[in-house]
Amino acid sequence: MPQPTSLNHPINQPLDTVARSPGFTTPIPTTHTTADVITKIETLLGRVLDDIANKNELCIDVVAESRSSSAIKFAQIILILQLSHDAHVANEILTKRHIYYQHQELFGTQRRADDLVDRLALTLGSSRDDLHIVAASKGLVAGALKVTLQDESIVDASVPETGVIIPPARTIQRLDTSTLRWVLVVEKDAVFRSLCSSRYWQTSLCGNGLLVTAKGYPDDLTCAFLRLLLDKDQRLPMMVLVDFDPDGVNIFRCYKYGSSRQNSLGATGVHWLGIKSRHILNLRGAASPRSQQNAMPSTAITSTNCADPVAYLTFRDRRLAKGTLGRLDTPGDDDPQAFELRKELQVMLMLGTKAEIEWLDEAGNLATWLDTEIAQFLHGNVVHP
Amino acid sequence: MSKQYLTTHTVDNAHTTDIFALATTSKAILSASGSSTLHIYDTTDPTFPLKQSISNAHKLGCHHICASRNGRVAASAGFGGEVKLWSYNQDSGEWSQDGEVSTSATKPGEAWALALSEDGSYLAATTNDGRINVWDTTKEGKPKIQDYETGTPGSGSFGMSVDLSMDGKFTASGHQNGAIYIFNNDTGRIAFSLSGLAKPVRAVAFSPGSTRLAAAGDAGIIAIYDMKHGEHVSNLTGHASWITTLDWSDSGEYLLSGAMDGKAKVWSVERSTCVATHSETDKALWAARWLPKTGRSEMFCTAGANRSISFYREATGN
Repeated sequence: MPQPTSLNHPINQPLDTVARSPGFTTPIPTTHTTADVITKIETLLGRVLDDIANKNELCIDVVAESRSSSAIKFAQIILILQLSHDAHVANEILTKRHIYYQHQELFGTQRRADDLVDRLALTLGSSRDDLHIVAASKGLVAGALKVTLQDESIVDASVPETGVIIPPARTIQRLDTSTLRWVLVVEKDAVFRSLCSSRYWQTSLCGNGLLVTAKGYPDDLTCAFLRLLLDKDQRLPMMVLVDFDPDGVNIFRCYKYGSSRQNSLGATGVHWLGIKSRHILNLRGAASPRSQQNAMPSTAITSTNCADPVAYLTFRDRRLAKGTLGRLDTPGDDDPQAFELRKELQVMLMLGTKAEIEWLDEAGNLATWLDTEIAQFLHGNVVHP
Repeated sequence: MSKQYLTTHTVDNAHTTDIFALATTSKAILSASGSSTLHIYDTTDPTFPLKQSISNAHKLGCHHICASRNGRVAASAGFGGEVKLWSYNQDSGEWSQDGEVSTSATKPGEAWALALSEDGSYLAATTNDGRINVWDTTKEGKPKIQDYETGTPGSGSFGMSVDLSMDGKFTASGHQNGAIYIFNNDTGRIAFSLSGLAKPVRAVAFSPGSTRLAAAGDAGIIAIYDMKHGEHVSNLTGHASWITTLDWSDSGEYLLSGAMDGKAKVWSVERSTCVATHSETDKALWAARWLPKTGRSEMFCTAGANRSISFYREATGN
């Protein structure tokens, strides 16, 4: 029986009194899990209060971590629980970014704050969303889509020149996809902005579309948004455009099969438009109606006439390619896209080269290339009447 | 004067995915691809039947395979970084695994291109940081006996190709930055540093007499070097895309090359001219190999992205 410890780490602020700057949260409806999570948090906090009253040792066990005796870590956990509880009761949402920035001295790094949020979610048997804490959105969307939020306000993705920030899925009441014929997820912000400024989603020969970017690897909010689109219309063609490099293949793999947080878009929901090895190895553009506009014929990257500078795989690229190959290797797997991804990684390693999406733009017109590739993809799939 | 080669046979769908490498012996072709299986085709039969399949040889696929000239030892390198040795059983006519060489699994690309010595006693492999490792395959545990450096440790250019001369004297390597190095195996030092290509060197090959080295890659040119003084003696020009593979004929008279546009060319080394061009496909060729001359006609085979192995026989017009 250990001696009761003195109160070395009193809570500096009483519950329910943390001040928040106005406007940083978004009102959302109560869900059926809200009461459960509130109850769990209150039970946990109640136990802490009892321990304080009885002068017991203060502790909270967190999943996948040994018992925390650190006063700072304890304070971090209590604060997150308190903020989550308040967000629940007030029917609001916090972002992980906000938690860190408002209490930087306490957490030290964004990663530490994020990690504790995830651990607490596991401890409570909830998802992070159920704690009313979400990742800040880095995704953008532009195109033929109107989003009605739960508060009845409307976000029209066709209006701003540079796209709109993707709203959290749980704040969305309705999506109007009536004029939408395709969705293109683009890896890079620069390519996204270039396509927005030329209003490709409107001028495309394949009809009205929607452009989306998560600016690199997919984040949870962007994936949740894309899942909403697919839930609304499972036949909506959704394509991903990434660089021809190991990161590009891995980014698509994360969209399709999910990363460690299991935010996959499902086996049939999303498809890899490119860049694939055939796009840089073969002559292009002959079949495209817009090819007449090109002054010069396209040249394969492996042609001795190709004047474009070639980028070569680095050590990190090769290591990532090997790791991704391993993740895609499932014995008995008859998934044709997994097969194609493996083959493309192997060819990439054989070539020893990589190519950016912008390479297509320089060799010709990205819109021309997209028209051809999207049309080919749509032709092989069910197209809206 | 040009030579005529006829397509005599094609093994369609030899693999379920791209074929990346071929190795030839006097009796067989060993083929490697992005699948985990190695295949062995019988070249003593004019229909080139599949004689053996080795399943699960390389879990993530295989990018390089080579065989010793005497046809008794083979080595293969997988995308997962492992290098396996295979030995031929003359009684059963089958290949079986004969161990593995130890490479650092934490460094992908630690073993990329492979070459075996004439009798299979030594195996050379290139690395991600431009070194060339050489192992003794005949000793217990297959110890590494050489570690040639081409830059300050850890900073060499990726090693894309390697070959061991038939007389055992030299090791040649080709690199991503266009460099070509010749190492003297007796002294363990660099003998020559060859220039002239300036772009990735995807293939290096010693002539059968070990007097010449052919090197080629993204420049689309085959450079020929003399091994007595390391001099650049000639260029073979005519390919329009990256050259991926080179092989000398038994006599050293002809050089076979394959390229990314699917074209295979036969060159007269003495006259520095192309004497034949074939393209069964417009997809990448990753491998082209002469078959050891057993009859009156010379034969070669090619393979690559179209997943077939194509066989060509010299037409005897006389």
